[in-house]
Amino acid sequence: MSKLELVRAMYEYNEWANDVILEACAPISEEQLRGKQTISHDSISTLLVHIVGAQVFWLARWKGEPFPGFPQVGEGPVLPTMRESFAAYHSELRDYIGGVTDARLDEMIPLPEWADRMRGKSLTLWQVMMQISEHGIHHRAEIQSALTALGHPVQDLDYILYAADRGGS
Amino acid sequence: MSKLELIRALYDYNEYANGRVLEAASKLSADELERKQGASFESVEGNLGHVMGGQVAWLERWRGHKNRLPLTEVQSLRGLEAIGEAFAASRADLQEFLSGLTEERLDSMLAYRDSAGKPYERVLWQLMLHVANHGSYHRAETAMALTAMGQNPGDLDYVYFEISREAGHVG
Repeated sequence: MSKLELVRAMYEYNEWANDVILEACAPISEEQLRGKQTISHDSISTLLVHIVGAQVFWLARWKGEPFPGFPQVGEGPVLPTMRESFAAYHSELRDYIGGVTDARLDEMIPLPEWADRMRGKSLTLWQVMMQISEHGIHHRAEIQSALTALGHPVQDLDYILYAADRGGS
Repeated sequence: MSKLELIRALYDYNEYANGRVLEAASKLSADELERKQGASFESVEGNLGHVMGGQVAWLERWRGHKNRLPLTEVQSLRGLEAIGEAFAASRADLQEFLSGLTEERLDSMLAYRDSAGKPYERVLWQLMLHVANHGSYHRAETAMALTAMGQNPGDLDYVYFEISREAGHVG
């Protein structure tokens, strides 16, 4: 197994875990989705936008394309919009990762300049791909905690359980 | 760069992030450390014990020691000094294991039993990815609890770890 296959495994898990969290949000009300929680981005809704927005941002950067902007929730129901955004960017990520090679993973990607510590810096593609994987785990844990506090515990997101479902034993 | 180097990078990040959370926890009072905060293992102390316990128990399995140190026992450790020392020992043990690891070993199947004695068989790299993810998940909960008590550990983003490492700020 190459490092590319390991990166792909991490992103397949990322997609599965995002989908589990989206479905876990189904039983809660619009008010609860948009309501203030003790999480890093105020509400479950804004945190979902943050997770998918980070995917959109970094994917554009990897492709050398301009950032199309964060997905917008607007005034309508949160969950259908978020399902649509996640599905669209999961699909784009799959397409992108399907075309990545081991050599490409080692190419340098200039970092954005939104923080002083990033200014003028570059990291390899695999390093910034790890960022999205870790970023998703971190913020899904916050949503999971908020959902549990609202009386809707989420199934275990352990990688080993996901791998067992996919690969038997 | 090989898959092995990627796994090593993931564990270097794991240690960096553990260190950041332990440092923030060191600013809590004894009461705050054990205060129930709604995390999976209730308190900052309970969650840190679980992250450390997971590392120790899984490494035992990878070394073929057959649950010599059960998770329930290891994670019940209390007091930040004792937990910090256990993290330091776990870090050294993991580094030793990682330094002797090969690509072939990462791809090999490992038979093990869970805490209840149920048998499983899985590829080593999957188990190692699980433990790294598990740490990230429970550190996020711990960071929420720390922040609620005024001790935000700061950004734990992977890119910031790599920037610090390339600048020589990570050991």
